[in-house]
Amino acid sequence: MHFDFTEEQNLFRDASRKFLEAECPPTFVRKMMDHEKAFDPAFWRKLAELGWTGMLVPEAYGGVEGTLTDMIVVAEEVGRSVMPGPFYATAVTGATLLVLAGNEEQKNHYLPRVAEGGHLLTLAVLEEEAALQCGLVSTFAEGGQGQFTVSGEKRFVPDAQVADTIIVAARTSRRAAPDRGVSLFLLDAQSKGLHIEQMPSVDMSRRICRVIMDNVAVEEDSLLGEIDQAWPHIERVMELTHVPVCCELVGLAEKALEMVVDYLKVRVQFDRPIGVFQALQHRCADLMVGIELGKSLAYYACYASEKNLPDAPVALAMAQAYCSEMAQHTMSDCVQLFGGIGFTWEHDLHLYKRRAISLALNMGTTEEHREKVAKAYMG
Amino acid sequence: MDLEFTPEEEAFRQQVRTWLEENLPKDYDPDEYFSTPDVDKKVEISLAWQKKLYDGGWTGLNWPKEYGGRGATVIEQHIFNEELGRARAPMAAINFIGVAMVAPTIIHWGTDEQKKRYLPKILSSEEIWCQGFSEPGAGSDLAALSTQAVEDGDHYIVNGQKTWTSLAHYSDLMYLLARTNKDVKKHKGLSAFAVDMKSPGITVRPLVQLTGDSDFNEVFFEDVKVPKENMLGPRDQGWDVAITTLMYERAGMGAGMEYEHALNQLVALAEKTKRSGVSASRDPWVRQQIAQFIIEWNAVKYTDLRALSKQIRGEPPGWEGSICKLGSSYMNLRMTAFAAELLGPYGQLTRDCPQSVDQGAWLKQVLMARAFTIGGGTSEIQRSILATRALGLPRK
Repeated sequence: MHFDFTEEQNLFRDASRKFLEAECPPTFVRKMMDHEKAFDPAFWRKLAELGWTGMLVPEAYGGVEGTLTDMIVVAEEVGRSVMPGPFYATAVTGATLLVLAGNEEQKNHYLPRVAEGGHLLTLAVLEEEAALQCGLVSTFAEGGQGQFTVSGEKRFVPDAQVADTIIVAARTSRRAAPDRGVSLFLLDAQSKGLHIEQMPSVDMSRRICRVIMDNVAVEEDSLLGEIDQAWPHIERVMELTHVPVCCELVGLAEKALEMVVDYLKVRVQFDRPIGVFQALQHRCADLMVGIELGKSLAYYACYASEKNLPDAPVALAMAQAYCSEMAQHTMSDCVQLFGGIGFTWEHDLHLYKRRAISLALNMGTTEEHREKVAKAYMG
Repeated sequence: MDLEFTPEEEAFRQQVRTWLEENLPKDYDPDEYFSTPDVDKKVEISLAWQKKLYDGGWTGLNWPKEYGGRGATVIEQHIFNEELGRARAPMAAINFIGVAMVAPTIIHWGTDEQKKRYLPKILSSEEIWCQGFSEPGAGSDLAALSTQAVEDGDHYIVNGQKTWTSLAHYSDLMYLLARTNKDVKKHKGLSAFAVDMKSPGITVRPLVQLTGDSDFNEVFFEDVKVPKENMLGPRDQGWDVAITTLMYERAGMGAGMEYEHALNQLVALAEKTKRSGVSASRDPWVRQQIAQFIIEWNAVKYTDLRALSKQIRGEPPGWEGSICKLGSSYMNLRMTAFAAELLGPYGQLTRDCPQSVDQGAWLKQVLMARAFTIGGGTSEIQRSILATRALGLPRK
């Protein structure tokens, strides 16, 4: 019984925090917000040197072969520093999909490049009705003569504006069971007929895009995994992505509360630091309770997912529902606790608030997460 | 992270489970036990059960062997508590103050004579203890208490009043906190005593609670003689002694398995409650609400496990106790209110009404729910602890 991090993981956390404090201060985040693509190749190279881009890539393919628990250690720190860039899209979602579904040739081609920081990935699943359901995938890949032609429009694709390869979920069979009939294709972002457009949105340090495909031709060897059988892989990889996202929400909230507490200690009104007032103290205490409870759910979700336990999907749904609401509520209260200064562009708090809104909304609705929990307990 | 138990620990769990199956009285009805307003009967069942646990060698599981315990590991104690909760065995409440609060305090602060005198009879439940801390003028501000103990030869003479004293009318001894020095700061002038409840001058008057039940009392002291050797810990250091005790109280509360049982009951209630001919458990709003309570309860349970991991490593208890107490009591408050709402007009019926649902248990829980946000340190005190000690916000 050890529901905690190892000594090694704690050292890794310290090192990660130091690295991000030095290399990813709020000034860097703001620079990325103003950047055309929210991407800095030099920063990405540093992540690769640290082994972060290859964290979930097996050693045989040039990666670090870390665990999901190692990843959530990083994720909390990513949250604390609002780290910009296509980190999850490439290092978690993309890399894991290749590990799960890729053939030897594909793994040998992509994974070492991802690990060394030379190749960026993203997964395009959602469309107009933006929910993670197999039946909603209408982008179609027409097959024949060793080639497919893909047409359709994807939305909310994370960091597609910098991706080298876009992994597209497309329907390959119209008469399949509800969770079948969808396949994955590795599409070169430069393909003819493929058009990428950013969707201006709340978190300017991480972008989301529309990917419009008009008869994009793709060779048969770009099919990732078996034809028609991609959906379980997509569900599993989103589970593995959303665990660290929950931890990032925890990291964002924890850092925001720290900023508030530091401020309440020095902000003087009525001749005393306002941190002495119980109206504010108790509000901070309640935020701490929420953060710690959310942390516990996120850690358990990580454990269950890493061990692939039967309750992993429900454990994740619990963490998603709780951490999403907790982070929104924490950010909202932190703005209030800072008062006027917290409502300015100049103050860094809104970077945290923006990231929290975007992460939570990208995971789906808290209503659907709670319904998943209800189904497990009430049928 | 590893939440698995070792084969030895699993074997221990099996041993506990088997013992419970064989030893829980055949006619024991947990639903009746947890909802009866008949305190005498409840105490009787609890005492009989405590004696059975003692005979089976299960009381003071984690006490050092030299004091009659088993020197069990933190994990074994955790497993044991979990199994008691799962079996919905009678609560340890009757002897909780003795076993979980007084004993660790005596082991920490007591003299050899005191250890010999008190510990064996706590273990065997021959002597039941109550806790004499709170007073009408000293609740959250415990150190402001005014019950006095004045030195007089080989005795102290105690005068004053205690209140909210749980089970005083069934207790043999009181763990008393009284003022022995008025001339110093309020935290510095207190001492702790073991007081024989049969001493002349003690009057116990039961208080009827908001629920209509009577679990606690007022206790009046009029020139009560307490022998000097009954002082626990050094004179005027009673505050430090009490802090030791309260740490054990906080560690002993938190994640109660009864909440989990109540959640299962709530699911069953939603299932059997019909709305326009359809089970309320099909209603999306009802499902969302219940899911939320389940999520919050799991968050508390996992936080308790994080605290357990710290304890296993021998680290001092962190803030998890306050967090679990705030989290679980707040969840329980809303959960019970929601159950009443599900019941509609039936939510107001007491167990005496033949038409009541679940023997009126939900009404009782609705009325009881506030006990957990007040007792054992109010939610507001818990928040102040977190704000000033965990977050480091200034006191003044």
